[in-house]
Amino acid sequence: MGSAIVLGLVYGSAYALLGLGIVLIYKGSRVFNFAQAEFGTVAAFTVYLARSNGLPYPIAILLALAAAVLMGLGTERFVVQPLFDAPKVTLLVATAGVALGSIALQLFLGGAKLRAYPPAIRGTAFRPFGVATTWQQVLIVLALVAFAVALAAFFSRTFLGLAVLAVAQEPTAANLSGISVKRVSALVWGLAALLGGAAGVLATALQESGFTPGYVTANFLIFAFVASVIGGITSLPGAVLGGLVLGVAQQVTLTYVGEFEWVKNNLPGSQEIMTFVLLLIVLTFRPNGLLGKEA
Amino acid sequence: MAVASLERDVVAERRATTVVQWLPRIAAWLVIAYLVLLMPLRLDQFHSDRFALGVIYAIVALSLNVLIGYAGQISLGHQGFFGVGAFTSAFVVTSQGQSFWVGLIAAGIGGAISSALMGLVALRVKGLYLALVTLAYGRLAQESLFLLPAFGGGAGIEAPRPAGFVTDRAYYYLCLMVLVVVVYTDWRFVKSKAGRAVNALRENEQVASSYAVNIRTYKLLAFVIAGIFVGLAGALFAARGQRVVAGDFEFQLALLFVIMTVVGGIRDRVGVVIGGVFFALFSDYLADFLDKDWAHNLLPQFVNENRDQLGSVVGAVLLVITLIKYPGGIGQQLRPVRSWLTGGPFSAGHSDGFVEEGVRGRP
Repeated sequence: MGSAIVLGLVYGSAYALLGLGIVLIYKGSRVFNFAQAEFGTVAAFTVYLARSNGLPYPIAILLALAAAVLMGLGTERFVVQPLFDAPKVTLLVATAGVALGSIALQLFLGGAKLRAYPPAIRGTAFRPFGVATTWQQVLIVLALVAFAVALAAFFSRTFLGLAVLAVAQEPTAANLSGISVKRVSALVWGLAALLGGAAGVLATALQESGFTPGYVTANFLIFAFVASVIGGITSLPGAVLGGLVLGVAQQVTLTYVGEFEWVKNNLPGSQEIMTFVLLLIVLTFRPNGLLGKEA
Repeated sequence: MAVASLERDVVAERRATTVVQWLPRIAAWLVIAYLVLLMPLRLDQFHSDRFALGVIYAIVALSLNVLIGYAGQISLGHQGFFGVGAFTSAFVVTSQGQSFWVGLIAAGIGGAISSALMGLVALRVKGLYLALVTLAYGRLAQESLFLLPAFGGGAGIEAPRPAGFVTDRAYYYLCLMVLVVVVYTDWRFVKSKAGRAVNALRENEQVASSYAVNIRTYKLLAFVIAGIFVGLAGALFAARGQRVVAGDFEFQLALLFVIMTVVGGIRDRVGVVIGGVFFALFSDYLADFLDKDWAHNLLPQFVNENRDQLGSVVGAVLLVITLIKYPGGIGQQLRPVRSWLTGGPFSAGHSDGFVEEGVRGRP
């Protein structure tokens, strides 16, 4: 049980970091951002490139986050803003297009080979429940805590945070009271891209074997979406809770259901089945998610 | 009112009537007929195989058009239903020893059942939340359903083509026949009472319901029809590759399906068909084009190395431009051409009943 919970919290933190970005953008633009995980893959690629050019790790991470934020701002400026009044499906398709285009660009420029960069801090941190936990795993949980605290402070203590909330609730009224909706939208996308970039940089190094183009999208995006809906798509604390709940539930399922001989032979993908069932249960009994209010 | 009738008169005057006016239009129709019916005969096997894929994608786009366009339900798990069709037909043909045609029908039924199950969810879960459920379903299908031991447990199963349609060229015509049936069904469906009911419930469920439209029945019906279409497409896809594996139905494929439908032009039958064909063929043709000697020498080395991927990059840029400039997609772009082809003037103004705006999705 211990190892399942530890691993679940680690992967849950990755879902939660991505989920925070998804929730931010949903609050700001009322759209599911399918490019969210690509901010992460682009950041991971930047770390890889910087590291293979001999730059030190902290600079590589800074460059990666900058690249992710730049991509977020670009997406907002050239894709989201021109489609401001478009139907939601159109906007959703546009962000999906950004994701597919980004994956294609990575393949086009670099080919489909597997790349890897070392974790930020090597070695084992400690052994809760006798489970060897690496520093990289600790780091991603710490990053989630740091971002969650920073976001909470941002939204409750600063005028800028208040402005973002105001625009999310009532764009017209916010605009009339002197808040630039366009600037707030850019800020939201920049912030979300920063979160996505951080998630990508940290989550990609969890896997020793490395990553391919589109890695974060293929492995984390759907679960991050499910996590943010479980938590409540309009709630930032919900995204954190949803991510951790989903991560732990998946690992517990893998350990306790996936290991049965019969299940192993006859029912692959117990993790995916659990995710789907959990999503349906939450949507049936709490349609607004665990912490969500009326959207 | 008076203005409208006046305009109609003007248009009537401008409609082609004489033989001279019709000649270029007939010539254009002949070119289209040549491209669709005869060109695959002149192509090598590889390209008629790609053409078959284009036709299959067109059927998928028509299926998504029923859900997104008519019923207003976003499906991001359509590769799941597509795969159900593919694996059902392969299972029926290979493991049960039935003929291809039985497999095709079974695929339609399989697609309809799995889609109707999602329809039951859609009765409760709405808008973007439903989109998310379909997304999770697609992942479940890819990682669990298609890896079941009955479906070869990851190794996949054989999906032979029917006798008489074994070559890629012949198989293209088989796909084309199915497309014709699907287009006809779609056309009749929209014209029927059920089609009007489905369109009404998209616009406003409460209003539709107060006009005695049975929301449950017609929403499920839309899912069933979309499921049949995509199931058939899946069966054709399976036999096209002659083997199905779970890896063919990745989540990116679902995004591509939605993209090609929306770029084709929601609620525009011709548009979505062209959208499907375009996204199936564009990438390869661009790569072929870059393969020509002069292009090869002109371009930098790294472009030539990964030129297969250039189509997807360009496609993504085209997608965003299309969405911003032409919300009605390819269908909207081609409206003057279609007006001209049917004898009208070369203008987008008077279309016979094409809907102007895109989807009005509500979250």
